Formats: sequence, C-alpha cells, structure tokens
Amino acid sequence: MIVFAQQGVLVGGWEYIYAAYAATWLTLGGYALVLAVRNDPGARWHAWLTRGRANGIGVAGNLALGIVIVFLASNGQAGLIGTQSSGALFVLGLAQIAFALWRATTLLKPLSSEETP
Amino acid sequence: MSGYEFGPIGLFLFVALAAMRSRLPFRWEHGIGVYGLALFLYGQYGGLVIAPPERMMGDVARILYVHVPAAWMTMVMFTWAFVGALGALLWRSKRDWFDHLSEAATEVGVVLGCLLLVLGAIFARPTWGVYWTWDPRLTASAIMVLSFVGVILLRALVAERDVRVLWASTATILAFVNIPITYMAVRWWRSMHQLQSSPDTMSDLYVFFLRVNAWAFLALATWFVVRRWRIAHAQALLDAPPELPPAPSPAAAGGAA
Repeated sequence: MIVFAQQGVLVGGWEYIYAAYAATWLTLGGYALVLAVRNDPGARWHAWLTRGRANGIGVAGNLALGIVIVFLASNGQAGLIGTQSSGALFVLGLAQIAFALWRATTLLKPLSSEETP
Repeated sequence: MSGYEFGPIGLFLFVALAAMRSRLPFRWEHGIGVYGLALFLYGQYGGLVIAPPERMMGDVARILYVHVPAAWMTMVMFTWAFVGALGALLWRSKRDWFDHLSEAATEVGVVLGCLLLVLGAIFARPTWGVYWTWDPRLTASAIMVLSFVGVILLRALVAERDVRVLWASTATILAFVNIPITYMAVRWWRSMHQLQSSPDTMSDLYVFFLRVNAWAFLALATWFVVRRWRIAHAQALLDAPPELPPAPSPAAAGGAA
C-alpha cells in the first residue's frame, strides 16, 4: 500500500471516501430500521420482513442484477463509465448480491425431525 | 477531559441502564443506541473533517475510521456468537438465552462483515489499484463471513428446536476457528494488507478518532444484538408448542365414573 502511494499510483480520492461513509451509514441505518420493523408486529412491512414473500425468481433476479452491476463497475475502469461512478456502482452491486443471499434464507423450508436424515 | 473517557463512560451507562431496566420508561437498550449514535456522529465528523490527511495515502486514509472499527466489531460479534454457542451447549438451564445471543450476534456479525468487505474493496481500489485480490487476509475475511452466513442458513433449515440449537452451536464453534486465522493472516503469510498498527506509531488525533468510532460501533452493535435477541426470544415463544391441560388423575377419573 505504502509502495503504491510512494510511486504515485494512488488514484482517486474523495469519491471513495464518500462511497465508504455512505455505505457505512446505509448499512447501519438500514439494519436499525429492519430491526425496528421486525420488533413491531403492527408495522406495515413486518409481515414481509418476518414471513418472507421471496420466491426463486425474485432471488435470482436480485442475484443477476447484482452480478451485472458488479461487472459494469469493473468495466468502468476501462472507460465504459466514469471512474467515480464505478465505485458507487460496485457497492450497489455487492449490496444487491448480499440482499439476494439474505432473501434466499427466507426460501428455505424448515425440515421437521421426521424429514431430517 | 481528553476524550478517551467516552468509552468507559459508555460502558458505565450500559451497566447502569441494565441494572435499572425495570424502572425505565423505555427499553434499556435504547439508551445504548442513543449513546452509540451520538458517539458515531462525532466520530464520523472527526474522521471526515477534523482528522488531517495521512502522509502517504492522503485523504483516502479517512476510510480507516470506518473500515477498522467494522473489522474489529465483526470479530467481536462472532466471538459473542461463539460464547453463546458454548453456553447453549454447556449450560442446559440457560440454553435458550445463550442460543438467542448466538443467533443475534451471528446476524449482526454478518451485517458488519459484509460492510467490512465492501469498505475493504472501496479502500483497496485507490491504494492497491484493484477492488479485490486473493490476498490471505482478504480471502480469510471472506471465508469468515460466508461461514457465518452458512450458520444462518442452517438455522433457517432446521425446524426442531433441540436439533437446531445443537447443529447451529456446533457450526458456530467450527466457524469461529477462522477468527484467529483471519486476525493473524497478515503475520503468518505474505500479505498486501498492512500489519496491525500500534498507537505508538500513530499521531494522537488518529488514535483518538479511531477509538471514538470503535466505541460507537461497539455501542451500536450491542444495541443491535439486544434488539435482535428480543426478536429471537419472541419467535421462540411463538414457536413453542401450546401447553396441554393437565391430565386428570386416575382417582379423579374413577370418582367421576
């Protein structure tokens, strides 16, 4: 890391800082919101968050969208899109993939002891 | 007051609120959340505005004020999950309490772990030139998070409570093996990732805001764990089989006949 910086390879600046802090605020704030809704049975989104209305197509869609966005962000370095946008896009893509994995947990049908081998 | 007292003050607040929880007009953990939020706002402002640029990396080093606390607290949360798993297996009378702790800390740890990986990728691009490389520390971190995602999936897969506690606790203990490996990866293997820094080699202002943010992350993560623990507890009550009325005694049945 230090070697790169000494050789003048250090690229970018505040766009990465803003992306990092925004990702932090969105993650912590978003999770606090999710916990608040899950703790309140009367909340509008409670059933959706706790029961899970996810289906396979929705999860696959989230996953595919995430992979496409990460791919676009990676190619952004080659001039397809701006470098500043690619960092934000990369984070968005990873968030999509994480969301898809989380939704996938709601798809799993619990096994009873009779079904467990 | 140098500012380093923020952490111990928060710890005192945590213990005090927990002790007087029955007399509070709000759930005691919200006190920790408000304290964490206030500290977080101050720490973020310090990291973004007050702290000076680093000599080598310039302003990009400001990402450390969120990246490092996220890494520390991910490991702390997985350690709590490990303690919960051990307690659930060894302490029969407190099994559910510990299992809820393990379940809550695992989920919070995965959330912070995903944030850690994203922040690491954002930090790696301007400093290393790539978002991701198969470096020992990065790979071990990714395996660490994915293995605990596996624990969450395992919990969702098993319906029977006794089996779920046994399997999830065992999987948590196995997944925890990777925590010290992840921490030591930068020392054991040739890694691009820098070694752990010592406060002796950093300016006081860097250390100060790093600690403020670390305490803020710890307070917020504690708040999340308690909130998530309550959800796990409520879910366990919902899933519990209804209590059957007591069967009539043979004498009572005979008398009725």
